[in-house]
Amino acid sequence: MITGYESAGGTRWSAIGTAVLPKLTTVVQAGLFVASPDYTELASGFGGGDDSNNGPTWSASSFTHVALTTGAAKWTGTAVAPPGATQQNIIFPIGPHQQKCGVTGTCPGKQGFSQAGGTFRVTGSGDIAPFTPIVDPLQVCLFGVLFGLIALIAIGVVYITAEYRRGMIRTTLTASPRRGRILAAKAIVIGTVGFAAGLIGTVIAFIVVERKLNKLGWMPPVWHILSATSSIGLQVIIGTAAIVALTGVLALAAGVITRRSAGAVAAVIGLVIVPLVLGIVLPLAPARLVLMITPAAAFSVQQIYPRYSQVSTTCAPYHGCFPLAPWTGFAVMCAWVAAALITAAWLLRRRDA
Amino acid sequence: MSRAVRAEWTKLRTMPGTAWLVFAGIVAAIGASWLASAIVKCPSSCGTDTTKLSLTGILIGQAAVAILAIGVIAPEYGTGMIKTTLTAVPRRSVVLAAKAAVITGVVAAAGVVEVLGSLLIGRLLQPGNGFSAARGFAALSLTHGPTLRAAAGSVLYLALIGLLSLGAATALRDSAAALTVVLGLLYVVPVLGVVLLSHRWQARIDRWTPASAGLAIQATRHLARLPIEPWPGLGVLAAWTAGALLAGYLLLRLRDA
Repeated sequence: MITGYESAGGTRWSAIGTAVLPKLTTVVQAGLFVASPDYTELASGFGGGDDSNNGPTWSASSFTHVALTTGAAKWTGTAVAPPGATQQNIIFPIGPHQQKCGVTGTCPGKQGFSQAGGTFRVTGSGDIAPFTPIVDPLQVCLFGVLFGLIALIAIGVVYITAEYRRGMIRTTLTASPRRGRILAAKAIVIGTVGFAAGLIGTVIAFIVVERKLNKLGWMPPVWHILSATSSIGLQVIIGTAAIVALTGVLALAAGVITRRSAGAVAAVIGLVIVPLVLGIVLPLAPARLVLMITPAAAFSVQQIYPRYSQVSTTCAPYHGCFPLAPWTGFAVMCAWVAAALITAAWLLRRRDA
Repeated sequence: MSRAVRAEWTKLRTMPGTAWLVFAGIVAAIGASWLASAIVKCPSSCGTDTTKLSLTGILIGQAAVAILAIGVIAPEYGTGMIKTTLTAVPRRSVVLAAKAAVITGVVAAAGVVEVLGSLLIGRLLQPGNGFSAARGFAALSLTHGPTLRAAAGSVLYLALIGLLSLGAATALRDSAAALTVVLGLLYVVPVLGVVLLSHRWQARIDRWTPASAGLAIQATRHLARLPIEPWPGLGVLAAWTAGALLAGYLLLRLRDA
């Protein structure tokens, strides 16, 4: 069992928790390290013209009263670098010094370890944390679903507005006078069609993109090749297909509410796709707000990498980072669709055809 | 020609949705500009182009323009009204030109309101948000050359988007299809431009697609860093518009209504 303590000043320590590691080997390495997260300066501008600077930072610490109570030999110093740091073609969230110093271990004054008497002096740069890429290439590739999405929006809207335009709606309502049932039937059909189309498209895209990325050098240990049947792979694929299905239902509901193709198509594109544009061009605070309250929040299911509270990252929408957790964002879209369907059912029942 | 324009103006004026749509477009555009000017503050984002910031609403207003412009032709095919129109004015070029003239007039008028309202809000709000004279920001003013260019250019931008939509709707003859194509071009393509991994494709999209290139006209700072300069950017949009109108005209002429 390992117990952790924290202290801001180094004199008064308080316990923060314990962890039991059942698979721990008999030989355990312990040591001192100094982490200093990269800095990021964001001066967000408009139209994607943000000025962001980032780079490594360094910090040094002296440790005294370090003691081993059982067995153990003496302390040795090792420069620790992230795996694969020599691969220059891979974008690393760390600065150039870290790459050079970390790999070769010869970086005077920047990275090091020295021992004088009972005092250890350790210098470090970067985080000791799981690797997260700034921009997730798989997520970016899945943005292609937007093209299919606008086609489905048009189909979902016309599915009902064409009936109004041609007077077919009267035949439909005469044949089946229960209006809620008609709406439900249409929603099921467009939802199923959307889900099937989305599923086929996403599965193919997922497999093709994974293979292509692997060819371009995105490979372990930096990049985990995701299987389509892993839990995250399923989240991405089923989540994307569900977004397509729900967008189709939202388009149908909008078509019932407005009864006009143009207004309904514009409204749904405005709710589902325009927020993604706004997320890119707006400054950080309003961009995050927009991606939390509109149906576009659901695209968070395409996020693959978890975020760790101990790693400093900027969740910027133009890097594809959504402010809400995957299924929370999806729930936002579900709420919109439910509200739209209820309104549509109410109006369909209340209005003459 | 003047009779055809008057006929089109009467049709547009008396359509139930027109006034409402123009009003909604102006409110949405000025509202978005207000939101942008109210939220962005200087100590955190002093690099902001204040003119472009205050004109953010144009990004929203263009959707209303597209709906309006598509609405002057596509629904005529849905209701069969197009047959009446072409019987009354048999020359296809005159019909299209009359529709284009009416749309340009209405969009330009709405655009002037949107742009002036947005700039006024920016002028009133921005100094209080840290974009003050003390930090070297002059209050927005049309006497400032680049700001005048951005303002006039934004009105031109909206007019060109209106004509682009008219051309697309004439070619496609269906509201939903035309709107999907136009809004896809205006909103989906720029997203791909920003998130694409390839910088080469990102630069190509920023330079050669209508919305990204056209909106370069709003930039007043860091002009050297733009993917395309302001007037050439608007020229790219004009080329798209010319292409759409030409395609629409040819199809209108070649096809039966």
